[in-house]
Amino acid sequence: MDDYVVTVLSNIGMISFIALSAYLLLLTGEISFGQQAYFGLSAYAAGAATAMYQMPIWAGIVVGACAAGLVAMVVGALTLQLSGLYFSIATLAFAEMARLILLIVEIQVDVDGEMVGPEGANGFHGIRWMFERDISLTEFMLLIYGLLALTLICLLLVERSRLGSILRMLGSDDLLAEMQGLNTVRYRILAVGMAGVIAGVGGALYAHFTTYVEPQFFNVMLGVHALAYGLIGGLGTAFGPLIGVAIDIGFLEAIRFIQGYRMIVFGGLVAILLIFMPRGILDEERVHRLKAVFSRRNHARA
Amino acid sequence: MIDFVQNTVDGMMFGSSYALLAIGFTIIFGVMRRINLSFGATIMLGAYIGTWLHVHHQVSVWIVALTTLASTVLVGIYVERLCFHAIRRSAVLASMVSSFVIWMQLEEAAIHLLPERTYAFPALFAAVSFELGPFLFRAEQTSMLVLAMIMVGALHVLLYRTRFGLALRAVSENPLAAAYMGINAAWVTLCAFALVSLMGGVAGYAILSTDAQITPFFGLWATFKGLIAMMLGGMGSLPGAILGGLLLGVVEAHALWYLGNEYKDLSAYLLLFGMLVLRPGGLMGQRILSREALAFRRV
Amino acid sequence: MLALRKVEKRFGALAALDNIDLEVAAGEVLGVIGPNGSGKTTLLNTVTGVYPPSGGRISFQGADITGWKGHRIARLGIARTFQNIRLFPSMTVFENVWASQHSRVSGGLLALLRSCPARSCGDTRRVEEMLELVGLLEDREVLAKHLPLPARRRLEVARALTSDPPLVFLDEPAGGMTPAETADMARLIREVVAPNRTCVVIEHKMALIAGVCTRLCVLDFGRKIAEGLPGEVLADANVRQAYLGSDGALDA
Repeated sequence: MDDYVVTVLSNIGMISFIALSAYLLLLTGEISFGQQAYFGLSAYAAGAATAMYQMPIWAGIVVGACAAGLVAMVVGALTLQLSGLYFSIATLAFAEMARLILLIVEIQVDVDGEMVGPEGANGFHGIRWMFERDISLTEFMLLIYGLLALTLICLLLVERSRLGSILRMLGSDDLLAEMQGLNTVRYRILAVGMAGVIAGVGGALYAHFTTYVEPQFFNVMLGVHALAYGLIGGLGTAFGPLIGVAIDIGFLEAIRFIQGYRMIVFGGLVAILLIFMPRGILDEERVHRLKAVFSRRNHARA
Repeated sequence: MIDFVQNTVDGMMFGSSYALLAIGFTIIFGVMRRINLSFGATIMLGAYIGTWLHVHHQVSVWIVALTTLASTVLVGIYVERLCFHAIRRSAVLASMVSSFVIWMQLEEAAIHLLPERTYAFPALFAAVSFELGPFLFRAEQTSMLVLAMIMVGALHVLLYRTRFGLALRAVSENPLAAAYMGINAAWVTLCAFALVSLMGGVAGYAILSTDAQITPFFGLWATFKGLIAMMLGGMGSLPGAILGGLLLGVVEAHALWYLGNEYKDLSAYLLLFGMLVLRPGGLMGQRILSREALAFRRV
Repeated sequence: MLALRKVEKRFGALAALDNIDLEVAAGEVLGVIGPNGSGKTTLLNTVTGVYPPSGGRISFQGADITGWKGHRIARLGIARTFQNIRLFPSMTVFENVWASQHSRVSGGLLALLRSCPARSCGDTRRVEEMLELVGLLEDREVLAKHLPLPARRRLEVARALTSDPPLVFLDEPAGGMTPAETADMARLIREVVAPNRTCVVIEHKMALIAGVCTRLCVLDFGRKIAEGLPGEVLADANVRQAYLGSDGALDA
């Protein structure tokens, strides 16, 4: 595979994390315009861990994901009483705040005679873990997809678990969920934290893949794309957002004559989908029907 | 002390343009209970069409102004049909996401029209400043504040003194009941949207004339500043829009002066986030928006 | 079993509940009636913790539950249905009933991650029994939003009963039903809901009230205006006044 294809595939993989993160919140009924903040915070935290403090990459990913998860839980706790429009706008405000703070932060340490660290608007250069260990793009892509597969498996397991059905109950009708004896506050903070961790894993990978991050990349457009992927692909299953990513990056990127008109096509596509399939291509009802078909087939075989 | 007052004055001057934008957001929210995130991009595309005529066909300034207003209204109607009319009223968030992606669409269309980074905006008037004691005022910004107040006054009269206003308020309260009363809700909403777009066009024209230039960042700027100002003032409140705009302007001006340029936008988002956490209804909005109130509405 | 002492609930200037004293004895079926807007549903919402009371105390089985959050009250054993039917529309009939089992599963994070709905979590057999009792076992894999109205009401009842609560509130269980369907619901309440537990029914339909309630309580403008055996209460002049102006039949 040439480097271009590997880069595009890696980007698809890394963006999938933030799409999955937004999807998890969509399940609980909240729209977040701010998941890019956790992606970005983790990119900085993980980059700092490996480049400034010479931690191994797995530690960097853990540090980044935990930092993102913790911040997300704090934000979740602060915005607990908000829902709907108010919650969305609050996440948007927080994400922009985080981005603008990253534009200011300057912490540099001396690593082998060279200053390394976040440098405000100039970004954070020199996250060279990949080069130092002579790891090829393809190998790193495998790491990305390995972790993505792991995340997806976890999410699919969660969806089949009690937690998954509790989250869907929350998203469907939180008062009714509360009346079933569920501590909705606790589950909501848990969901927000999990979404932060997932975005964080993607962000940590992103920092090490590009070796250089700047706050500008984590702007609200990234968050809106992440959100749109779930809404395109469908909210019935965790495969939904991945389908959304594949449609946008895989399909639209591939069609040459769309270049330059990408947003016109993408925007129109999403707007029309929202009219006819407001919960995406694989929504709960279609997933339910698909499951019924599969289980009938299994029964027939057995 | 003089600095402080001058900063406050400057902030209010900037705030007046935020207030102009917030009026559009607050009316849409008042009528539809939804947020139109593509409002800034709508104005931007309208202004781009006007500027395009000026750049490529050297039309007069008056034609630019009229084209800007007319195309803003047309784009606004496009947004209303696609993101609001076609989506169920209860699907508040679907409309918001839809208007966000349409924002991207409009922005790209505008950039295809005029691909350079900056264009001079053909203004109707030149920049004039005047002094009042030790303080400097800019005439066109002062007139924007007056314009915002006139708009709010006119809207108030329209909403509470005319039949159209009555119909609008009825649709806003309960579209089904309004329909039983023989009000064509779809038509009333479309008219309201066209009116808001027209006012957005006026606001955009006034702001761009003051800036004397237009860039592709205008859409983002207008949407965010208008949205923040509306949320600060209280969603759906007309005086709140002006108050929120002025508050935002003043806070930004002080942050700029005392902390530096990079803190200007940060202070705006911090203010918005803080307001949402502590007082979600904004300055003039509903006092509480607690779970209790929500639960009461739903049960 | 349930006791309300001087309970008040105000929304701004409006007193939705005004100084309500009420005792619900174990094993009875108490009917709460009253004109629209008299505070019946507010009473239910205040007891089940949808919102806290503005004043007064509420106790349940000896425990003071005033101001508790809804989920704690539900766990303690008060279940309810809703006037305007609330179900999880995109979940199946089975999943809707099984939703009430969450509060009965103990254990920490690990128990949360168990695969479900499966035999290992919650009492599947209990869910199936309840579905059988309300006649929905056949439809267990149907999405709740595809059910007709009477079946949705029965589904709500099944959900409320599955966690085996000592006290159940039914909020207009026969709302929007035909007389035949109402009679079915009355039978369901008598034969399935009432035995072995305490029940409070909020209702307009006299056919249902007269058929199932052992005692009645009447609200008007947030106050309790009468309480007693159904025959006595319905004959009470104040009640007739509140309900119908001056006279007329109480069997609407």
